[in-house]
Amino acid sequence: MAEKELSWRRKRALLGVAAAHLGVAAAGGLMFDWGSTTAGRAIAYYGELSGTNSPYSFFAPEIDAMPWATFEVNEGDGRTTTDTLETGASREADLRTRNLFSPFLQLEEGWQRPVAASMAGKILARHPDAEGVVMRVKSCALPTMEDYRKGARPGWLIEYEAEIAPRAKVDDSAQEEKEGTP
Amino acid sequence: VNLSSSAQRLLGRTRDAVDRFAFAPASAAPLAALRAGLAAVLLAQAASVAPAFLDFYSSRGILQDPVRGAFSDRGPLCLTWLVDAFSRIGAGETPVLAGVAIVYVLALLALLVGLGTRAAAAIAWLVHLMLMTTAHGTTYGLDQFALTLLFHLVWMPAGAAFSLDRRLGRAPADPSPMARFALRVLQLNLCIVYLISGISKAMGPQWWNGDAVWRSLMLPEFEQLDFSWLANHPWAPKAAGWAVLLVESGYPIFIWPRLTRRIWLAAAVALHLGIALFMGLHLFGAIMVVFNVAAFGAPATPAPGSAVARRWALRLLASLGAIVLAAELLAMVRAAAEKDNTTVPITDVTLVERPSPE
Repeated sequence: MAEKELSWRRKRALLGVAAAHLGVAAAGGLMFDWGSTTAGRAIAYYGELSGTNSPYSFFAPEIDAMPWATFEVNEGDGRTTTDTLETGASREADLRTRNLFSPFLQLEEGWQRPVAASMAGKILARHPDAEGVVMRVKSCALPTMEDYRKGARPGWLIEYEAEIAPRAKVDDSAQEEKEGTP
Repeated sequence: VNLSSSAQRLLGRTRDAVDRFAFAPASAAPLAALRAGLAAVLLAQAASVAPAFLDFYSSRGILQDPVRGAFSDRGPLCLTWLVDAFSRIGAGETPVLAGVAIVYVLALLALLVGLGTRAAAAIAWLVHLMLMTTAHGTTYGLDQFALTLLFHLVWMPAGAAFSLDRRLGRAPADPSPMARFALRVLQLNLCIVYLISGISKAMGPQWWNGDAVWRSLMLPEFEQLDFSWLANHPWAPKAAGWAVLLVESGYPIFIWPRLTRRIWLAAAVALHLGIALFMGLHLFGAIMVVFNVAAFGAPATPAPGSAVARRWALRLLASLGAIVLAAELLAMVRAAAEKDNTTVPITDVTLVERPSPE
């Protein structure tokens, strides 16, 4: 089964399509805004479908610390434990979970609260008797090489903090308080 | 008349040069390397993500249904739409998601061995896009490159070498002009990637002063080994940073001449192996090695004795496919059996934010 020879006309058409495709890729790399016209939106959509809308600027121009969240669980029996959304099942799965926190910090306030509640919901499900959790999203503050030589060491910057409790537990304790009030 | 004939000669020579560059018949072996390599990386990714599959894609996952659109405008190409459509005939969410995962894995296996290559690429591309759209906040560079490469495989003659399609006589014989054309598009796309990546790195101070390499080795999310000793040898991360800038920014120039191609290819592969080993980004490193080797490392001109090599490669791919299929199914069954996909709904919790410390 041999492939037919290509006519010059077909070759020209293919070159045109390839140039357009690579042009979209280059524009994606330069984060070009195609605008809100019908044609602009169509090209932007093509970029999304083909993956050519990527800025390709991985680890550029700087390497920022990836935020990370810990959940301090009040177990209800006086104990406090620390849990994370990452389960350690695989490096890839954990990396993907961790990817959520960078965009989480950029979310508008209207989204941030329910997203935090949703994340905490996973932790509370793992600790069914917990009274509540404190979610902390933090980033590593890594000193420069010069500061490291002078004795500085990495630390954590807390960028978001919230207390989340199961509504049932909150209602129970409110009831207990009410009953205890003379 | 002379000017016109000179212009015509020049035009003719340009046309011939373009024709040779873009359409001189070539083997589809590099495209087959891309096909099999990409499929292998994505199968490994699928196996790695399987234990957390429902956490990422289910409405009872980390992002519950009401907030799943928080990170992007998901549009029609997301799994929620599919789940809703199937719910009308009484199918639950988990079986639909499991079905999607099985279709994805089967499409990748078909790609690996080159069976129904274009259809397999189209299905894998569509499902990959849906997975990315559904859990947009969890995606990273690997997913973006995988999407681009799967899209390329839909129209490339990647089944024309080292494939069951070829063996069954369903794919055109190579060498072909389309194989050369597809390879050129792949090569130019990779050059664009490196040029932009190199320039954007050069625009910040971190890659010039060595801080970028220091941070990539020392930040806890990437740290694989203790590299704190580098603080006493700052010239080393600085030199490594400059080398990365040189390799990436110089790639579109030095990858083309025969004299420098091997050096640049080896440097790019070493860079990505370094990212895989020392930053723990194994699959991202792997996909970039596959992209490089397919674009500039695999021979596009068939060598003598390639028929025997091809037979062996085909057998190897078929065996690899069978092993990967067995491992994937085992991982999926194990994940499904072990998974306790529970969560506390957002409506059942109260949340009080604490002010962030300055």
